[in-house]
Amino acid sequence: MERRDFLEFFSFGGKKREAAPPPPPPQRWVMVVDLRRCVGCQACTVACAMENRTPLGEFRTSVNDFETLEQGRPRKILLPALCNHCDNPPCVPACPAKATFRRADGLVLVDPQRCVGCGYCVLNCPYSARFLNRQTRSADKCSLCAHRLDAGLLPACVETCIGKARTVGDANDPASAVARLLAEHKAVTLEPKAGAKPQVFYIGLPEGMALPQADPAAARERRVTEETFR
Amino acid sequence: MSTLIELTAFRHQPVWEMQAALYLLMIQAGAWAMLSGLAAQATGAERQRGLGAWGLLAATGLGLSAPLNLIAEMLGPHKFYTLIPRFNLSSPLSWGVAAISLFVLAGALGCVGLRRPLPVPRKAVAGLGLLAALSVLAYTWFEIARAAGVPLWADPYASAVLLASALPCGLGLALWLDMAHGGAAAQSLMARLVAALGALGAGGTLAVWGLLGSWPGTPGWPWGSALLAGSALALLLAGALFLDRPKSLSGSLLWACLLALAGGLGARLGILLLGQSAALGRAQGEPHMLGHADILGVLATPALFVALMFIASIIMGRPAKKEPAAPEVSAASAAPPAQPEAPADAQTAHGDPA
Ligand code: SF4
Ligand code: SF4
Repeated sequence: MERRDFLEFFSFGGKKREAAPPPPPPQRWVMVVDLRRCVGCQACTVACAMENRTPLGEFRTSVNDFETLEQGRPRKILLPALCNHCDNPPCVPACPAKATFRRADGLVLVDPQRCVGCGYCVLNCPYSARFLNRQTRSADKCSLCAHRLDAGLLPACVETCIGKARTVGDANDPASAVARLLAEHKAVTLEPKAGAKPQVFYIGLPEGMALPQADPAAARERRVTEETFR
Repeated sequence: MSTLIELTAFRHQPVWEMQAALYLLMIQAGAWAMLSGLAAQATGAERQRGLGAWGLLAATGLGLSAPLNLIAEMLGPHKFYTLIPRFNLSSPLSWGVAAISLFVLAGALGCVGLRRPLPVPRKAVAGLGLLAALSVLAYTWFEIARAAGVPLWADPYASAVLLASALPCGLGLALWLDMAHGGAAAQSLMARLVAALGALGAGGTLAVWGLLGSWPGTPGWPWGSALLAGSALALLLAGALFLDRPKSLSGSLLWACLLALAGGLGARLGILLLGQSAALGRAQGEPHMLGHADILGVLATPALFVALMFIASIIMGRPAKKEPAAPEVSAASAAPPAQPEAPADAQTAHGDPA
């Protein structure tokens, strides 16, 4: 106890201590992806693979490439995809080993020591953001580079993005870049119907664009041209 | 929604493959075998006595061997035991671990009870078995239906087909094992009718589901639709064969069982892989049928089940320990001398206290 506190404690009718200011809202990491700036160069995909040493053929993030018809005119959509660090993530309650958890700052992470590699979280992610990593023998997905954020660095994908399409920050800090982007633009999330409350926001995503895996009925209208390209 | 052409996509390999399909078939068939055995015991009919015993034995064998598929499919099988202390109330898989443990315990107690007196009342063991079998069926339903990332599985048709197609497998196996040990339960139309209804219901549901267009239109794996269509056909054929009164061990009942097992496994493989290829996609080509397992790994658990049934057959051929005699000597029990040890014939093979 400091001398000032000690004297105040024993003073009668002394000046009341001012009420402590309310604690700042907890940090909430979110990502905003401005699709108008993405050029589909996949630099983020490569930077993530290098940073996180993902196995060959599996990615924590990549830029999906779609074409759609809007009022009879073709339109190309480049959609960087990653774990949405959902506010209501279905992957967390599904895990039988309690290896998937949500941190106080909103990051949804996997503890590889606990993970038994059952794959049930992969099947419970509406965004296909997870995969089983056969090298680490555990479930794997984007951690928003939690190790870099904790060290005061930006995630590898954000740092490398040549179009500055990806922005990461604290949504609860009104002065942060993400808070300003969210205030100034109409940002949407993928598949809000899934109820997961994703925290990766997209600027410039066409209204009502469903992801291919959104619902099987919609999938029938889709042509997959991967074979043609292989 | 306008037509969407997918040029490249964020896609991953399926995670639940052959061993998951085999696990689901074996554990669900085991649950139905347990329910069939308990129902047969409850009737108290002499003809159903063998079904009562072999239903329990098949259920326990399947309950012991099926989870090995699950463990083999995990990336960290050595951590399997941690699922017990870290029970997660919200995870169907945690409930599954509890249900399987209960199932194996109830089955083992029931099997011991076939040969010797139990320290607990038989009705309590039967109640435990009923609870465990229903828990296994319920947990597998939720495990599939509540996987938020696979829209095809959210369709109740998927879980219904999985559940119904396991009925002819479990009941059929118990009926065939009983017949192989001289029992006559397979001659009863009622038992065969239940198995036939399960197979016809599963095959019919699969076919209707397909015709309505849920899976033929599912992208990702065209062979999945063919596999499901073949499975529907196998289940429908099995249903028809179950209706035929079996005359020999290698006759209609055996073929009905084999077709039901093939249809049940095909339906599971099709539903699991088709659902995942639509949702997760193909990172490196079509899903491979065997998944990451090799053929010996896949055959290991059915082989273990066969070995366990072989051991059960030898044990059931021996005379059972009698229940301790009542203290008061009644005229009836005093009069006839003790019967000579019965030969290892059809009746003792049913667990009949000789
Ligand atoms: S995107 Fe998928 S993996 Fe990421 S938090 Fe949401 S549900 Fe979980
Ligand atoms: S794979 Fe790991 S993180 Fe995912 S549900 Fe299983 S134990 Fe949990």
